[in-house]
Amino acid sequence: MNSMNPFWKDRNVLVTGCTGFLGRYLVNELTKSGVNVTGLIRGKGLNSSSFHEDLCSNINYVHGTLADLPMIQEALEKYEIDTVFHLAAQSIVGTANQNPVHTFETNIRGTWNLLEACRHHPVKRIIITSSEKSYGHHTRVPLDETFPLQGRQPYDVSKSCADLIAHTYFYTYKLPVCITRFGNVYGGGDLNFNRIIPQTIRSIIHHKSPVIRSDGTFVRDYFHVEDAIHAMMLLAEKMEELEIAGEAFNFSNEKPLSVLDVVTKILTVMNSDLHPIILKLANNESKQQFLSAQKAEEVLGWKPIFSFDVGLKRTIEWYKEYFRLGE
Amino acid sequence: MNKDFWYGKKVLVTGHTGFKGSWLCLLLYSLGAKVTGYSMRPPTSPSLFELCRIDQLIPTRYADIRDINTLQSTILELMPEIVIHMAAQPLVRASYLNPVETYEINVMGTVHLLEAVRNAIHKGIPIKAVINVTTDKCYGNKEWFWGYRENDVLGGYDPYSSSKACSELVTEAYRKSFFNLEDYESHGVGVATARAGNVIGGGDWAVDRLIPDCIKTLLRGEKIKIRNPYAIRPWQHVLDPLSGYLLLVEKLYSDGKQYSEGWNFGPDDDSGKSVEWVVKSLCSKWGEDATYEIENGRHLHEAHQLRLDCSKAKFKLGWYPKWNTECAIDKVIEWTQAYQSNSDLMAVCMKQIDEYRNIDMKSI
Repeated sequence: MNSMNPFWKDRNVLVTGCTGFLGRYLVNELTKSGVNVTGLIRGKGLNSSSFHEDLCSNINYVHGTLADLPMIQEALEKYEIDTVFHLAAQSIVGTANQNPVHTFETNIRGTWNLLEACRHHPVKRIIITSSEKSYGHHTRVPLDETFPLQGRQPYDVSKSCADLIAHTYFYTYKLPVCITRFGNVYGGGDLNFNRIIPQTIRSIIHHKSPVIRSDGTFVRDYFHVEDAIHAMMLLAEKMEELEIAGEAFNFSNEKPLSVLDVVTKILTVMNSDLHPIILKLANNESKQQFLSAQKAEEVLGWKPIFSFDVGLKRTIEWYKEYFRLGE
Repeated sequence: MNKDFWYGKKVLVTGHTGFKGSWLCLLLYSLGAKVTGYSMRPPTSPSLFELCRIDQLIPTRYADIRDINTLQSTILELMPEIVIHMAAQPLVRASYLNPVETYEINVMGTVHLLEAVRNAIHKGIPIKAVINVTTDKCYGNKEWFWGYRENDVLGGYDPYSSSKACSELVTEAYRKSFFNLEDYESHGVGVATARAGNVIGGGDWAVDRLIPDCIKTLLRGEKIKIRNPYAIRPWQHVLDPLSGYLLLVEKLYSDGKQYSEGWNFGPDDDSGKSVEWVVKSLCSKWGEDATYEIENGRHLHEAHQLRLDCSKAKFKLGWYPKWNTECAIDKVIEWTQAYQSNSDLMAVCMKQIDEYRNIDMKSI
């Protein structure tokens, strides 16, 4: 990774969602690049796991939620923020179905409050992390940036709306916003064991057959977290130079995999002779949903660093270490 | 509009103190529905709501759509069968100045309403039909000549338009996750959205709108000044889309499965008239030497006027606009002259509603 890029040296950067899976990686990378990071943290304490506490000790903290507009404005002013990475989100699809109001509050309202705060402050660049989910269902794949944002389920809709509002702030107020859209992001440190990769690795470490809830044929992008961080930072670096404010970029290694492929690869890498249990539960999600990263390649000169196989090996090592220490 | 259907039906209207909401209250009242309103105080002064003393006709809860608890308890207490959601920040210009308030009201307001409905249904209140009133501006503006259809892409550049696109998407999320048509037998509610454009009618005091601005000028006895004489706009009387909403409710109520989707209610293509045509027509009908002048400056022809394709409402609901631009202007003039002479404005509204409904009956 381009850790030593002078672009970042001594820059004042706000990261929302800094204690989340992507947030911790981003803070780490920004700190290494010489950034003065300010992190927005919900609630009082750091309830994320201890392995990142060291790293978090050398950043500024602001406690509060994105519901609190004056607090965000104060943080932008106090720390003279120049660049914002907006990662804070309720990111679990199942939770969105159970508690749509909370999800819409966090993901949609949180985004407009952040953008509004930035509108009244001389922030130079804002990176909003959207998702492949913001496109909603389409029969044609791969999805490119011209596809309409038409989520149909609460989580997808929260992402479509946040994405649309980010565009509005660019068109209406010329706010320098760029939007990233990723597929499923994976990597060490993701402690959400509802997701297929952490779940499968954990099962195998515990000598249990991995479970596939669907029939295993659903095809998705799997994108390594370090590639995601690199993409976000690259986009921020290039925004002014390339005059691409207001635009969205897909990032993907363009090697979509079926759930069964993913589970089989994990079994192979972990030398396991377990077999997946395929529940074949009904699922009305799109059969195939993955991104084209052609625009990012052409406009930004971006390329992914990690193949799935390499990324997966690193990830498995991380979880092995995590469970070894934990047990 | 079927009076037998509406008689005694329990209806909750949000945003009923606004111009369009007030007309809806009067229309529902004339059909014998039991209406309750949930809204902030009237947004303008004077207002149709106060002039017609609508608070004396229908019980009114003065509260904010952003207050989910009050909204929830109101719905649980009233147990409506039908909910028509009109509470919104409706002005594009205001949305530029205050985007957060616009999003709070238009996006979270919709979330609150649908969540309250969801909880009410959980508690066994048989809500049968919900309509979320959005706008023709919810469509992503493609700058093309054709009318937008219900399955076109949603979007919008300005905060008002994107707030309404989001309101549409949120409605879709609730429909897919909590009011899914496959489970219609268990929840029993049809949820639709209605998309209409700017409307005209007696009693509109909103700012930044041509006809209300002209009327205010005429009432002051001044000369009307127009900036964009050649701009072609569609003109539609408020009763046209409102009658469409009520037809849609009738269908949703009895067969939610077939009608739970988005619906356009726009004017006919031939209703497009230039601003100058409309102002000239207003002046000549007003009499009393009403005049206008065109302000200096370059007057460009506006190329892309956003239009709605309303084929679906026409075929599936049997809805059609009944008052053309000329007739709509007549009604506005008639109402405003009654206002000027301190006549009973409620009576004028009811007379116009009767006239409108009589066309309905003749066609049947």
